[in-house]
Amino acid sequence: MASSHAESQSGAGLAHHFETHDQQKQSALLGMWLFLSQEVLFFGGLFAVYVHYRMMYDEAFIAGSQQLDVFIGAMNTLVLLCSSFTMVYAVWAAQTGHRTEKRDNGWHVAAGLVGTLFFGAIFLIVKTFEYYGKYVHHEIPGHGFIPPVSNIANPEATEIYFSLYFGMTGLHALHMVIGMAIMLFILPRARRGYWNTKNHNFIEGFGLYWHFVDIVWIFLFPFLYLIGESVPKLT
Amino acid sequence: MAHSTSHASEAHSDDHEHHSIKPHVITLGLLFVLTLVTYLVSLVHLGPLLADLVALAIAVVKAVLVVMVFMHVRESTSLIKITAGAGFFWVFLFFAYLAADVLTRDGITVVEGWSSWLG
Repeated sequence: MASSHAESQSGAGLAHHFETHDQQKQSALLGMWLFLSQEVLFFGGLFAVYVHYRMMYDEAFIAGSQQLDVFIGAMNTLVLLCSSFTMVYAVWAAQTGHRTEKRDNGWHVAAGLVGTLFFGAIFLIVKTFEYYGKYVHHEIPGHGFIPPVSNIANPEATEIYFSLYFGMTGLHALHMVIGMAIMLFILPRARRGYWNTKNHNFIEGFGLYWHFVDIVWIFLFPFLYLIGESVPKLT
Repeated sequence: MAHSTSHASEAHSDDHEHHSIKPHVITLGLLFVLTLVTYLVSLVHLGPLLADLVALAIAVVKAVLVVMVFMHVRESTSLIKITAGAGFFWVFLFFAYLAADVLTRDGITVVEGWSSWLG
């Protein structure tokens, strides 16, 4: 009976292979952290490629970085931080059973998710315009790529920079798209109050995923956008 | 079952789960400030290696804030703390050995500021 997957509103199911709710919760969190650890390695590999080529073609990386709009990157960083906060709000509302006079607990959890979807969507829309700008300027690696500069040692190495730019921000964006698809899927359930003080392992685990995606961007922003700021514009 | 469930869940929605949203609001504010700081620092000409190290340090502080507060590691069990730390520690090792390799190879021209500290 307790092993059924708790479709009830209280949703406080304890799977048969766990002794206590705390054990169940710790197992769920540990599993999520193990998944995130392999995600760290996954993105770590790309950052390692960045470090390696940056050491070889620093000038080209700076020239590539100077083609990006730092203001847009910074604004998008703030947008993503806001989305992490709204995610925290959803998890917090579920954990504490937060409710207000007019709104029940499910409303607050769902509101956090809607906020996260909203900020996530803004981020991706902005990113789309950035990608489009690169397309217009022939800065997408591959056939038709035109180095944006010519007066440096290895102008063609800017293509490596843009490969990493698209690879890393693209993979990051893919993580966001997957996260947002999951959020859309779970939103009605959240609104019904499925996640509450008794049952919040899933939404907490999902929150960890979203924050991880935020952390990846925290490292992408300085190393893709900011590295060319203190250097006079290369041509 | 309903009885045992509500009983267990009382222990479960427990003491170590914070009841105020305030720490999260403060953390968001700090993250905003650090984003501004990293931008302002990038405008100062610190030189190739130092500029990167400072940017990295600020990013690490931001990541630690997210991990500790938003991801609740601050109030997690030791097992979670170790697991969370292990992935990041591995990346640190990975980068240390990568840099040690590339910076000491002949025939690869590396950024002056990055290699000069090797002597």
